[in-house]
Amino acid sequence: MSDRNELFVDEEENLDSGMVSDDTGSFHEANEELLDDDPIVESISLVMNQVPHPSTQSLHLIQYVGKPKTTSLDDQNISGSIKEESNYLELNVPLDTSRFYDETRAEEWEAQVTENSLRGVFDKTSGGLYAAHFVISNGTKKMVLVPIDSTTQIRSSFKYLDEIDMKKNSSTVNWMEPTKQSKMHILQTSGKNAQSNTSDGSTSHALGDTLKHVKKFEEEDWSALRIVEPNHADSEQVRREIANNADDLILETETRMDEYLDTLINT
Amino acid sequence: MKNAPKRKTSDIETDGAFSELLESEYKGRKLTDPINTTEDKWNLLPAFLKVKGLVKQHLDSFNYFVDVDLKKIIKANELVLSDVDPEFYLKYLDIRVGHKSSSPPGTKEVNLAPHECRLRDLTYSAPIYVDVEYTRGRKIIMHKDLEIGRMPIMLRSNKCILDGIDEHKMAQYDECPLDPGGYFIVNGTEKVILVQEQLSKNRIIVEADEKKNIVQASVTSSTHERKSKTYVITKNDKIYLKHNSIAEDVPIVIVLKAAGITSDLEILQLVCGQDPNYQDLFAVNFEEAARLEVLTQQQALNYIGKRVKTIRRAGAPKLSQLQEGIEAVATTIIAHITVSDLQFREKALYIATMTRRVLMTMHNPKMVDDRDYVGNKRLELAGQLLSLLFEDLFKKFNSDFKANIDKVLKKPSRTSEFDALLSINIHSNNITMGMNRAISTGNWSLKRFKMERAGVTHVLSRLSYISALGMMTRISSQFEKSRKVSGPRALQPSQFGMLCTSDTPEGEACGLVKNLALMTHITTDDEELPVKNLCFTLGCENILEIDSATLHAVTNFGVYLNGTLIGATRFPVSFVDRFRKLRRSGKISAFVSIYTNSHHRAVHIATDGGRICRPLIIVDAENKSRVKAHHLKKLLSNEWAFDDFLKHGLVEYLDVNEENDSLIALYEEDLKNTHQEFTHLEIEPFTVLGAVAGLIPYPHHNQSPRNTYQCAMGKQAIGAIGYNQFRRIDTLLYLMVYPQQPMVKTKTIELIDYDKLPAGQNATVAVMSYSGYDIEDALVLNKASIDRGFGRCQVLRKNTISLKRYPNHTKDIVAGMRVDENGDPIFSHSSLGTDGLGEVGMQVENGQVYVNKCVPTNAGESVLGSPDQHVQSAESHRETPAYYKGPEPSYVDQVMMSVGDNDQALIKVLLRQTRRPELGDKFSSRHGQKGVCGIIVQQEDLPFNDDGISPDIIMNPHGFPSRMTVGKMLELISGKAGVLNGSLEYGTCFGGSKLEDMSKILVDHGFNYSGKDMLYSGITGECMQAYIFFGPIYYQKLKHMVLDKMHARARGPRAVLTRQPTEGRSRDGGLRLGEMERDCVIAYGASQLLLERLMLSSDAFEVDVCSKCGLMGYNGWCTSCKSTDSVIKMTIPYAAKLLFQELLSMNIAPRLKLGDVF
Repeated sequence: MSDRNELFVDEEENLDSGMVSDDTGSFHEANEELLDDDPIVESISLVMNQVPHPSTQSLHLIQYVGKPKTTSLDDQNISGSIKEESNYLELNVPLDTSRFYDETRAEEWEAQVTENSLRGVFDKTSGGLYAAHFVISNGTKKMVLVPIDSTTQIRSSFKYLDEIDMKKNSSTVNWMEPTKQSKMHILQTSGKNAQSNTSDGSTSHALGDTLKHVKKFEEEDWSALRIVEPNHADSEQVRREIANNADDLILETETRMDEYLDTLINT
Repeated sequence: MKNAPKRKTSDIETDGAFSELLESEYKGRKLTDPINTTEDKWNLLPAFLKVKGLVKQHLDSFNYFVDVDLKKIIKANELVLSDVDPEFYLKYLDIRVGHKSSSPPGTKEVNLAPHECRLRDLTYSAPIYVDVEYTRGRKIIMHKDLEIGRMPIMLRSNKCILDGIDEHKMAQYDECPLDPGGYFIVNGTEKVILVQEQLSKNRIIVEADEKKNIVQASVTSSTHERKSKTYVITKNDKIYLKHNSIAEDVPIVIVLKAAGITSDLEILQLVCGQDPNYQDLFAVNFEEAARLEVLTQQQALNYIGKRVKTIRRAGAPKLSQLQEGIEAVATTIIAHITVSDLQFREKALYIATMTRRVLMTMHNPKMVDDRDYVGNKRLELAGQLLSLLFEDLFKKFNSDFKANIDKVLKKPSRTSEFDALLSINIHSNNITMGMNRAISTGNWSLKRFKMERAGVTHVLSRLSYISALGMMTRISSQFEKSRKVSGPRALQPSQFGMLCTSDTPEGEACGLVKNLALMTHITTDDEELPVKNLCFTLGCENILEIDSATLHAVTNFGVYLNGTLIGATRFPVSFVDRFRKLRRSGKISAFVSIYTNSHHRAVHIATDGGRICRPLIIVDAENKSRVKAHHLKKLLSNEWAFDDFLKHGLVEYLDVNEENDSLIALYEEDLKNTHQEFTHLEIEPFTVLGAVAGLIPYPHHNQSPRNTYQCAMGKQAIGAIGYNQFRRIDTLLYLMVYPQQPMVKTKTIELIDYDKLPAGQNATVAVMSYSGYDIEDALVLNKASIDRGFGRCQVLRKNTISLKRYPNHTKDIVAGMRVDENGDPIFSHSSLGTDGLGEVGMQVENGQVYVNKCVPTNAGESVLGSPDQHVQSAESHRETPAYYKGPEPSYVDQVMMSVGDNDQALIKVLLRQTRRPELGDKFSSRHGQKGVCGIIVQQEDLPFNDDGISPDIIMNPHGFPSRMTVGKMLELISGKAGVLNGSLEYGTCFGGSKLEDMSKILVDHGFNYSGKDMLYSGITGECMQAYIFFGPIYYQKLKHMVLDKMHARARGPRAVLTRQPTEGRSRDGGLRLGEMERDCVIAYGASQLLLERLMLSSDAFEVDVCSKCGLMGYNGWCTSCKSTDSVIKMTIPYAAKLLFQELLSMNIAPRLKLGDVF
C-alpha cells in the first residue's frame, strides 16, 4: 500500500454493481449451456488493466455502511489516516451540525462534535474482485477491469463518546494506565506464559491472537492519507490512465470452466 | 444349488470378499442374461459393498486419522521450545505410522500377525515415526524416523498387514477372509470402538419452551483447543447472550456492538432484515442498551470485560477490562469462529444470525429445530476419538519432553553438548500406554474437552459371525438411558435408509442404540477452503463485501458453509444446481452436501465429517433414471466399479439434509408418474434394513416388533464364527457342529456372506399340537434328528494360567503328574501328561486338574537375606493346580504355551464340550419366535407324511395368531418349494420369491398349494383329522442352554460376614426365597415354613441371652450382669445378632425381652 492512495470515494456505487455483473458475466461466457434461458442482448468487450503504477498504487473498495442517502461526500473536506500494518483505515467526515444536532447534549458532554470518524479493517481479496470502468470511446463500448486489492466497510466509531468516557474516568483514575501497564506485563510474561503450558500440559493462550493484534494496532502510528477530490486533476489522470492505458487487449477466456475449477479445488 | 459359483484362482489384489458377486456367473445368473434395469440395479449393491464394505466407516475413519489427521496434529503442535535457552528448538516435520521414510512403498511394519497377538495377549500395533529438526549446540540437526510410541492398528485398515491380501494369504495368517476387521487387538482382546452419536458441533440449534415462553439458540463450538457452548436466549421477550465464562447474560445489542456493529440501524438490518414483524419484536432490545449507556464498541467491550469470569493462571498477565472484553468476544464466545486482524464482522454476523433465528422462532414457534432429526446428528468414529486422544497424549509428551530439556539446559556447565533426542525416548512409553489403556478400558478422559466418557470400547462379541458384524454397525447414543423422554428413542422419518428401522435392543437402551442400514457411508472431514472459494466463484457474494442492508433482502439467500454464514446469493436455485453439477462431475468431493432451506432462506453446504449418507441413482429432468442397461452390463462385466457410477454422475451420495431437498422414487415404475419431478431413484428398497435385520426372510410380512426381536436373537444364535474358528482360543466360544445355509435366503444374506458362515439349520417343521409338552411356545424335538446332529453344538472355554517370576528369582513351575503305588496317575491327575499340562483329547472331569501349577513357598523372602546362593536352587514349591469344575466333563481341545508381554510364561488350555439339544434348550426361528425344547420324542411316535417324512420340530399353532408372523409361513412355503425344486429361494425384503410361484411349484410336485400335508399319527397310524402345515423353516439354536443354567444346592458355602448362603450359580449359591415369596408365605400363614426358609436353612445362630438385662452374653455367662443365673440359649438369625452388635457399638443397647413361645 502506498502513501499515495487514490480513493475513489464517489465511485463506490458503480464499483459495487460493476463487481457483481462482472462476476456473473465471466461465468456466463464460460458456461453458456448453463444459462440457456438468459439470452445475450449485447456483447461488450472486456479489457483488463491495472493501476498505472502497481508498485506504489493500489485499488481498494471502501463501503460506507450506513451513509445517509441525503448526505453527499462530494466537496467535503475529508481527512484520512491509516495504520498499514494493522490494515486499519480511518476517515474523518465533517458532521452536518445544522440538522438533527443536539446542542444541549453537546454542552452537557462538554464536547463539540464536528467530525464523524469512520473506521474499517481492510480485507484482502483473494482475487476475483474487479472494479469495472465503463468507457465509450469512438462509439465502441468497453469495460475496463481493474483488480481490487482489498475491501473495507467503514463504520462510525463514535470516537467522541469514548473520549468523553476517558475524560470522565481520568478525573478519578488515569484511564490509560491499566492498558499501559498490561502492555508491560505482556512483554514480561510471554516467557512465563510458556512455562504455565508445561505445568498443566495444555496450551493456555493467555494472550490471544486478537490481543496481539490489538497491541500491534495500538503501538502502530497513524499515517495520514491525502484525499483527492474526484474531479481533481490527479484523479482525473488516474481515471484516464486506467481507461486508456490498457493495451486494448480484449480478454477472451482460454481457461475452461472446469480447468479453472480444477485449479481452484486442487490448491 | 444348480449353478454353484466357480471360483477362479484368486489373483485379485484388493479386498476379495465381494469379488465373487462380480464374477461373470453368479447365483444362477449369467452375463448373457438380458439386463433389466428395474430388476438388476440391485447389482450396484454388491458393487457398493465391494468398495465400501460393511465396516468401511471404521476403516475410512482410522485411515483418515493415521494418514491425514495425525499430520494435522503434528503441524498444530510442531514446535518444542525451551524457556531456558531461547536458541533451542525442536520441530516436528512429518509423522508416519508403520513405515519409515526410507522403507519401500507398501511397507507395513507391525509387531506380529494379528492372530498371534490374540493368542499371546499382546497388542497389535505399529511404530509411530516422526521426523524432527532440532538444535544441538550451534548445529541444526535433522533426525528421521524417530519412534515416539506405538499405535494400535485397526485390523484391515491400510496400516494392517491384512489389507488387500487374498484369501490364500489370509489363511497363512490364520485369519478368516470373511472377518470384517475394523476392531483393535489390545492385550489379546478384540476391542471395538463403537460409533458414537451426538448433536452436530458448530451448528445453531433453536429450541423453545412454550410453557416458560423461552426461545434459545445454542451452538456448541468445538475447536482443537477447547469446547464451549454459547446461547442466545430470550428473557422477558428480550434477547441476551449467555456463556459459561460470562457471569451474567449480556443484552444482545451490547454483544453486537462489542463485535463492531455500532449503529443501531445496522443491527436492525442484520438481525431483522426488512421484516416489520421481526423489527417490532426486536426493537425493545435497543432500549436496554441505551439505558445501560452502552453506545460505542469500546463501551460494549468494557461492559462485557467487566462480567467475564476469569481464571487467572499463575504467571499469566493481568488483563484490563477492555482486553478481557476483546478476548471474550474474539475467542471465548462462539469459539469456532476465529477473529483475525481485528475483523470482527464474521463473528458479528454469526451472533446476528443466531439472534435472527431466535426472532424467527419468537414470531413463528414452528421454526424450532428438531434435536432428534438425523440431519442434526453427527457420528463420531474410531478415528475421531483416537485423534482426540492422540493429540492429548502428544501434547503431554511434548510438555514432559520440554520439562526434561529445561532441567538439563538449566545446569550452567555441561561437560558435553546436549542432545535433546537422548531424553525423548523416555517418554515414548506414555503415548503407547495411553492409547492402550484408553482402548482396553474404554475410558476416554480428556480434560481439554471436559470429556469424561466411559464405555467407549467394547469387547467384540464373537458369539456368532452376525453378532460380530452387528457390533461393527452399532451406534450408541450419548443420551442418558434413565431420562424419561420419548423423542430420542422414537423412530425418526429421517432415519429412512440411513439407520436400520428394526435393529434396536428392547428395554432401557431401546431406540438409543441404533444400527447402520446396509448402504450407508459416514463422511470424513473435507477441506473447507476450496469449497468456500468455489462458492464465491459460483456467484455467492462474500459477507465481508456485502453490506448489511442487502444481506437479508427478500431476494437474497444466505450461503452457509458448515453452519457459518459465508455470503449471500440472489440466485439460490442456479447456485445449488451448478454446485451439484460440479459435484456430480467429480470436481468436488462426492460427500459434500448442499441443500436449500426455504424457511430460513438459506443454502447450506456441509463438508464436515460424521454425516450419514447413502448413494442414490440420479434421475434426469424427464424422469428417466440415469443408470441404463448398458451401464449395468459394464458393471457385471467388471469393466466398471461402483466409483465409475459416481464419476459418471449416475449415482450420488445424499446426506439426510440433502435428501429433504429431493424427491426419491422407490421403484422405477414410480418414475412414470409425470406429475412429479423425481430427482433420485432408490437403488434397492431393502437397504432400509441393516445387516442383522437383513437375515429375516419376508420381513415385510411380519409384525414389526417380531423383526426387532429377531434382530436381538440373531446375535445369540450359535453358528460358525469364522474360517479360523478352530485356531482361536477365546474365553468362551459356541460353535454349531453342522450349520446349514438357509433354504430361504435374502440378498442381504449373500451380501454379508451369512450363507458361508451360517448360524442355524433347516428344520422340517410341522405346525400342530402334540402331547401337551408344547404349551407356551415349547417345541417338540425329534430324537432321531438330534441323533443325526440337529442342534448339536460345541462349547469351548479358555483357561489361562500364567507362570509368574518373583523378585527373589524364584518362579512358578508346572509340576508333572503324581502316580499311585501302581504307577497309574492319581484320579485328579489322570488327564495330565508327564509335563503337567492336560493332554490334548483327554477327558477332564469335575475335580480333575488340567494344569499342575506350583508356586514357590518362599516367594516373599528377599534374595539378599540368604547368603548361600545354593539354597535358591533347592527351592521348594507348593501345588496350586487348576481344577476343572462343572457338571459335565470336558475334553482338552488345545494347549498353548507362550510368553506374554511381561516375559512371563502364559499357558492357555482350551476345554471343549459337545452338547446335544436337551429339554429346556432355547431355539428360535428367524421371526422373533423363540421357544424351548419341551419334549424329545422318538421318531416312530412322530407323525409322518406320504413320503414317510417326519418333522424335526413340532411347533404349536397357537404361536401364530397373536404374533402375526406371516413371514414365517411364507418362509415355510418357499422353503418347501425350494426343497422340491432343488433351488434356494429368496425372501428378500420388499421382494423375494413370489407366493404364487412357490405355490405353483408345490402343486407341480403334487403337493397342496398352501403347504399343508396329510400326516399320519405315529402312535396310532391313523390319518390326522386336519391337514398339517408342514415344511422347512430355518431354526437357530440360541446360546441359552440348560447345562449352563441348571443349579441346585442343599448345603454349601456361606458368606463370611453374614453366614448366609452365597449368591449365584458360579458360587454354588442358595436359592433365594425373596421378598415377594415371603409375602406369599405370610399370607398363607405357613409360619413354620417361613421360620425354616428364612432362618433355619439360612443363618440360624445360637446366642446366650440374659433374660434379666436382655443383652447377649457367651458360654452361659452374661458379661453385663456378671452372672450365669438367667442366661438362656436361643436361636436367632446371625444377621440379627450382627445388627445388635452394631447397634451396641453405636452406644445403643437393644435389649431382648423374652417371653414363652406358646
